[in-house]
Amino acid sequence: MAGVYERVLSFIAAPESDDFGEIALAVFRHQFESCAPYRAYCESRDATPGLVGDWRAIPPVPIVAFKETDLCCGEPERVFLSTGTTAGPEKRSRHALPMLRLYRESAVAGLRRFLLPDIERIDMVSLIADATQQPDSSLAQMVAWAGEAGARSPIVYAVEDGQPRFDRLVEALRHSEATGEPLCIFTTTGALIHFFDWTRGERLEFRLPHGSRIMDTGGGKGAPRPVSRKGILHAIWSTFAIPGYFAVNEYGMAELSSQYYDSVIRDRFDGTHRKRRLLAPPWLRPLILDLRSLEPVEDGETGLICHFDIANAGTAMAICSEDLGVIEDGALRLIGRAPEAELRGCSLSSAEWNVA
Amino acid sequence: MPEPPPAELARIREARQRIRQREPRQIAGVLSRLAEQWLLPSSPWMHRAVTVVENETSFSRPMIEAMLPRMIEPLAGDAIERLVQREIGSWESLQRASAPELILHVLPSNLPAHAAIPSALSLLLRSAVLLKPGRADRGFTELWVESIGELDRDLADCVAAVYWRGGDGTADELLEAADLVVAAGGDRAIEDLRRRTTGRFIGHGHRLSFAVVGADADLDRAAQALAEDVSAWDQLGCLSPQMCFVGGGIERARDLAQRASVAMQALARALPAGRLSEGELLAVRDFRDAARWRGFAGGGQRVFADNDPGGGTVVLADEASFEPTPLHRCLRIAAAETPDIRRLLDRDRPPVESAGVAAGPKSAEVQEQLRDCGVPRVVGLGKMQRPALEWRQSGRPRLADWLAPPE
Repeated sequence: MAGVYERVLSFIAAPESDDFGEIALAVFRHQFESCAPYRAYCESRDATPGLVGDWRAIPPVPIVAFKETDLCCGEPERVFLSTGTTAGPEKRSRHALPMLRLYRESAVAGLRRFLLPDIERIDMVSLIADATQQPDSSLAQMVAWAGEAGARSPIVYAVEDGQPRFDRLVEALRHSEATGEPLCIFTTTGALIHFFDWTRGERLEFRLPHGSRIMDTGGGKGAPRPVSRKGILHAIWSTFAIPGYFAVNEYGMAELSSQYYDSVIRDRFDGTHRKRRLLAPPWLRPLILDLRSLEPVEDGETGLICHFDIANAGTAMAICSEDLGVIEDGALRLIGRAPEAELRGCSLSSAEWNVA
Repeated sequence: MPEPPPAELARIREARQRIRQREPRQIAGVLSRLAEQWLLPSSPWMHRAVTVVENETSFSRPMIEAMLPRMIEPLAGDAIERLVQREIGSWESLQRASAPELILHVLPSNLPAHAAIPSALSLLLRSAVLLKPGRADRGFTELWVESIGELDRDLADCVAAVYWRGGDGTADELLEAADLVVAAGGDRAIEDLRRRTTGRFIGHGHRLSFAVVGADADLDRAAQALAEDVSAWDQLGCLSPQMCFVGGGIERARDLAQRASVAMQALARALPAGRLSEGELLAVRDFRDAARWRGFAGGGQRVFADNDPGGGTVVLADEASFEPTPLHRCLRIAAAETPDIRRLLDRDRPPVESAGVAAGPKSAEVQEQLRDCGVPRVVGLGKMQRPALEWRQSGRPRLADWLAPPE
């Protein structure tokens, strides 16, 4: 068991080899042997390690599996919970990790690769809560690790009791302007839009020094109004003077240990000029499945995004999400949530029940 | 379907003057004849309606052919007379009754052909009628009105089909014009309409139905009847059972789940499922996955289904509840005795419309107990999808409710 985890950690540390498929199959074998519910699931699909020879054929678990059972290959060291996607009584996912280090190494390596490839340490401010305040939030934990790995000084948390403290954020922004030290902002997209609205009312603008950057995540959840990605990039420029090539959107899930990021900072660092796209680190691969048949589709075709995250070696590596996406030019383009069932007039259905 | 300008409203109001002096019994005769013409095997109306409904909805053609007549059957024979006697007392009382001048029916969007009965009964009251069908029920509604005209021009002139989308001003104009608005649909839609209506309003919101199979019921017969009630209209009607409570313990529940699944799959070959939207497909898959994973995690849940997502899903649950399913032939079966069901009804107060019972010699007793718990309609299993004209929707009388309240 330890052997598989060490292999994954080595790959995260030095992902130059072409071992993804081989490691994925080793992880599958480990999960099949160590997680009874997953083994029962695989057996129900006649997919055992002896029969599966390609990582793409590893049975992915649906998100609902994380709501019904702990998919954990050992005693959990830490459990993260999803925030839920509706206001209803829907159960939250539980991601129980038997080896927290796998998540830490993956998250930090991803941040280093896509957000901080060009700078060793940078001042940081966060509109995402402190992990000590929200211990069940995987996102809060990731920000805390980002601070440990790359902050020049302790992260400033512009959140208190779950509420944003824009005054603290303004203080950090003004400090950066005054000292000329670049600043890295972590935020949910929703909180960021709230901040844009607030600064407009307060007639505030900031001119952050070159090298400042921002990472937003979470889609439109909690946003006061919908704003397009183009609109967000425009507001980031006009509010902070952070150019688009230093503005990165992150796409992750509580059930994953690895994340996707916009390519812009990485491309700039590599000296390539390509259009913005969503990239995964080498230890995370997306596979797009046909919504009806759940069979893989060709590149360019839209379907459900299935994630193969070998950093999830201790839980469930293959996860079929509830998001739609498409692979274009070797990168994932996120389209959004899969459609929900239509409401059916006077017939009370689960679709209505879940939002009641 | 044209949006009715004020002139259209004036037209049906004026037409109503021409039928005011007619005898309800004579009108009932016309309406019964109309239903019977539709139900003839050679009926061109029914033939056209099947094609229209097939084009407008996602139901399979065999399903439409089998089920569409059931939306009209309740009007045939002497059913109208029986309804009048039961709710009003006599034809003479109905003749004297003070009916609304203009009734607006906002029809539910879950099934097609909802226009037939409300329009017929409104004409029986000699009221002018506005019919607002669901988005996928416009073709049938127009055809129905046209067919009335072939038999009785004056009656047809009192009816207009209307349509509006959320947010346009047409709705408010019509809601204001009607003396009575009768609406069926989701709770939020009903509350919205109630708020915007200035006259009398009768609303029928969300409803669900369930089945009970007693400890002494014949399981094969119960499974077949259950499969028929679940599969009709792909379970999208509010009279479709979504959960089935089985007496006699978990082994009997498991046995019934297996037999019901087999019966549903056989029925799906004769009455194929309609096309599921992507959202509906995912909801059915989620329903199956959640139950399967509870089973993988060691729970007692089991899923009985084949690969066809619309062909029937039976989940054997380890706990009885009134939690709805995603419809599309998704049924939850759990072991529960009648006192357990009564406790659940009392505790959760689900918005129940109908219960279908198969309980051997004790059937009548169980039915009575469920009625005592406030279940508005209790019938034998297998008959849930054949409501008589006298069906009291949400427990309310049909005709009597529409007449103006006494001064």
